[in-house]
Amino acid sequence: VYEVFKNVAGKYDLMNDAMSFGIHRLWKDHFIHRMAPVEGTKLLDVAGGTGDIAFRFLQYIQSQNDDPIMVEESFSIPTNIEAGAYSIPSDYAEEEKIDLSGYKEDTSHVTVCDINQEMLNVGKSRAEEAGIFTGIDWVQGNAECLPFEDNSFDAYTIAYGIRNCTHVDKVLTEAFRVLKPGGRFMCLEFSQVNNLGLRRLYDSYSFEVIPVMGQVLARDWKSYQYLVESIRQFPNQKKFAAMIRQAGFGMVTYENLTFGVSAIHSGYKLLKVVK
Amino acid sequence: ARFSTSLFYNTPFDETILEVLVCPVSKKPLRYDKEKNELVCEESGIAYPIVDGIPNLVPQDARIINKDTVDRNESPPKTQNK
Repeated sequence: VYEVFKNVAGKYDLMNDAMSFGIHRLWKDHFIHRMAPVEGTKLLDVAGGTGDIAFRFLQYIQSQNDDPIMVEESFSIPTNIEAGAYSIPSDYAEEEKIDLSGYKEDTSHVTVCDINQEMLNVGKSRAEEAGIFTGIDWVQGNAECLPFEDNSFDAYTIAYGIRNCTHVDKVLTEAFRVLKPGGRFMCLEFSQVNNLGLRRLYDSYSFEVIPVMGQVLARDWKSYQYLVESIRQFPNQKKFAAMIRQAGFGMVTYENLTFGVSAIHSGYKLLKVVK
Repeated sequence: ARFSTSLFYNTPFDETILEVLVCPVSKKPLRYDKEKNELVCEESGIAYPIVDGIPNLVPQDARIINKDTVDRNESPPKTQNK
């Protein structure tokens, strides 16, 4: 997996645009809209080396501060954009003696964690080019064995990364561990196209066109064939939702994007219920 | 004009990140060794490298600290703000 991404890192953005005709940008925009983060959210973005999700997160909060929106639709994934929805209020934290001394409690922050150094370097240089110097940290680490304390993040995201992990269950349990109680897990990933007619079309496209694109644009057939195959062997929407529940998350929901080509899964680390 | 040919020539390591980072193996806090540019977990006996200002906390990439060569005059655990 590491080798694949070493090759892929440089042309990652280009290939994403080509393969999905730019739609991956819309999927990611939608993903952040579903999250609807508020100021003060501490986000851990896993496997997001090039920063796509991290930058959108920061931009969303920035635009919220400039021009707050009122959300009135009802989404399938529950959202709550009241202030403090994803941040544990400081008086609660003091009660529980959670240590928040490191970060200013009221500022948003995203820590990007990726197993691949090249991807992180791309992300870091993109941040510098965009003039983003604060509110973001870059860490190289393994999603199955995260270098963070328990109960330390308000939100955890993993976009198009989990299908590449050897032990998805470990990734999920680690995600659960590092989230604060009440914290939200969100995953954006390729999923199953249920409509049979569309699926045939999608399969032909994936197996016949994408590796060719990989060869032409990045001189790399094999890595893109790997990517296509990894999509096929990943559990479908329902199965993955069950795995998320298995890890301890509650209120697990999913939403299909573009007929199921991609899907957003969401779950919460619910506070313990005292019987 | 700002430019960078290859990777970050010598990006300083941002120590504020130490507030959230722990050793992935022991989940205990890390000590920043400025000289060697590493993050050390005493308990696990391993040191993680910092590359281009980005700490690498993948356990497989860590260096096992040789017990014989433990320095006596190491930097103190709490780093001071400049």
